[in-house]
Amino acid sequence: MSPRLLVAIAVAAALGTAAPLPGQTPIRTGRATASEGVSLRILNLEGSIRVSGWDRDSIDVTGTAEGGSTRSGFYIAGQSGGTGFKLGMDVTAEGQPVGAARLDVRVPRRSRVWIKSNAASIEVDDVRGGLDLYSVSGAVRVSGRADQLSVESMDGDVEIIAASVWLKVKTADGRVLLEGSADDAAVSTVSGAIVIEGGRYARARFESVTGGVELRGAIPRGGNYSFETHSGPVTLRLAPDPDATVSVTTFGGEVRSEFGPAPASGGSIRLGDGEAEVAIRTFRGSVALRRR
Amino acid sequence: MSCDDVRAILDAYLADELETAERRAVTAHLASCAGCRSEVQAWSELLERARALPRSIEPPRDLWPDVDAALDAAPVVALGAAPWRPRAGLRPVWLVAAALALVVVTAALTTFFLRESDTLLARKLKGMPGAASPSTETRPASEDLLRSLEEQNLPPETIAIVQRNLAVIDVAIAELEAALAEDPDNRELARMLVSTHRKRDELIQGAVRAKEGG
Amino acid sequence: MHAALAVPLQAGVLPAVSDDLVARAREGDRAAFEALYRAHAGRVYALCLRLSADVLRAEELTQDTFVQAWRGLRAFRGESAFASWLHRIAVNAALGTHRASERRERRVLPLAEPPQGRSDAVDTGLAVDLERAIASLPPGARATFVLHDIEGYAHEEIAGMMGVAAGTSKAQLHRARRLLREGLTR
Repeated sequence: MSPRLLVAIAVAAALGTAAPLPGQTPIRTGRATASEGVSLRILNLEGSIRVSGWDRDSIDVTGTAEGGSTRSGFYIAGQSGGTGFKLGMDVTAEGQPVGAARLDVRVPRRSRVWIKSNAASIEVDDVRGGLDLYSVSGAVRVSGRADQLSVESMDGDVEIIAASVWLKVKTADGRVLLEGSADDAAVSTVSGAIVIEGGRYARARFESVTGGVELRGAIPRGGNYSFETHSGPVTLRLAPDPDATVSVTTFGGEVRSEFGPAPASGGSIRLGDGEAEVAIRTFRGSVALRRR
Repeated sequence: MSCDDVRAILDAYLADELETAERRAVTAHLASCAGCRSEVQAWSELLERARALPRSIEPPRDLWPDVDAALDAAPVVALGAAPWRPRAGLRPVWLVAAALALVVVTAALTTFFLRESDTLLARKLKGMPGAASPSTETRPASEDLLRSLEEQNLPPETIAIVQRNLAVIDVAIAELEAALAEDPDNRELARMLVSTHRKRDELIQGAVRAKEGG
Repeated sequence: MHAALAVPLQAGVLPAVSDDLVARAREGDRAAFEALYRAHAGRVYALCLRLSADVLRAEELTQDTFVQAWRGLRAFRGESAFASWLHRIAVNAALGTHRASERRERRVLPLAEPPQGRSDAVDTGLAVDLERAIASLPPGARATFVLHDIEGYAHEEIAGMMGVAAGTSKAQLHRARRLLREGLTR
């Protein structure tokens, strides 16, 4: 885990039990919602955002916002009993946040939630109506069940523990840790590393330019995985008795295998019954097939 | 005619492509072979079901916003006389120099997709000035893109992230172009180049997204 | 000059004067291009989805197709219908990504039967069965089946698009149909 992610989580945890500091306004508000089709847009550029699904037909927000005697910059909008809601911290005309906020939001589990952050960390647990999360440098963590899950970050680290139907993650530098599952996954970075630690997908594509891509564990039978880098190393650390047909295409990277002779570029090797299809394509990244 | 013979030409039989004599032979066989008859039945049913599949499927979500954004990332610039019109509204206005530099790649990409051949991309790139070497056309484009982002008042930290990742991608593009110059018929290289260019577009779109919404 | 469009456009409704839309889109009219998108996205997506057997890839391919169409509009002279031209772009985009995997497929030791179904969900409906079976086909066979039996291209055209001989296309189709029959009767 990157230092940045650790710090973000530690700060969030610490603030969770602290009383509001002077100059901070406590937030305690909510809205009743319709019983179906709820959607929520959250904008909080600085601080932290935590969203979790619950079984009530209401949105509940607690936390603190910077500001003090005058307006704190926190807003919540949307008709009580309705389906569309917005909340967060105001931004100036130049796009700067009026202040930082720590927001703890409960939403109906089937809500569709859209979150935008700059440096604020984002944590979502068990929100199942569709998630669209965007952050510049804030770390993102998603757990529980999700439906369609899209996470975009510039250099915030992303950790996915959620089980979703489909998963899309895009970062520039941010590191991506995949421990969840999905039918379809597309994960792409420029220079961030991608680590699949127990993540399981029916069809998955992992791409990076210079970031390394490492899979630790098993690839499900019938799975179809594609790894593509420009120069980032690709490493498969496979659990015992792997079943996969691994094909490799490279223009200069070294290919090593602990499973017998390494495949030459354009070739493939069959492990076990070969029941998963794995394609590794790299321009000059090294490729290593190892036992876990 | 044996059952194996019939099964081997079932496709042609069902598509009515057999010569008269062969077709009569198959028909005769079918008259007395229940096994092959049910085989023909099963194949016809399969084809009917395939034909009945919906030809149009709505994407699970509206893709237009992403298409719209991608159109902005590299605007259509006429190679002829027609002027390039910036799109009115809040979207960033790319500098003309950047747009012209992107045309080099855009024209090549267009040709790539329309001419059904990856090798055309390589040849087009080879023919463009400066394309075979670390391209002077794409480097200034990145500087102009970054300047444009600054003018949009993106925070300096965001610009720094874009800058270092753009540099990474530009190096990768230069390496792929050089490799393609050596091996212009290599489809895999051409595919990787197109894919890396798309990453560049996506990086800029991602940065622009920091500005929008709210 | 073309007359202004009198009928307001609705999503999913093919306007009667799509020639006008194409002409306007070619001049850079984004709204006209959006209308073309609304009219054709379903067909393009269906094709990309079946050829790639990958929901997210299909979304990307659909987007790429329209972006390429926008960029290439100046070169489109209207010699064929816009829909067929667009279709070609989609097919090339989808095949472009799987040509590489097709090359891989030739070198792989042949699997005796297609991979086990990827989903444990209970299938309801024959169409779902068939779609899943198609998605399970090896890439070359799948592309040939989709292009021939669903989209209606001829073997010569498919051979040209896939860079193989017409005989190979026929053999691939036969293989696809056989695998589908076996997959569906399981």
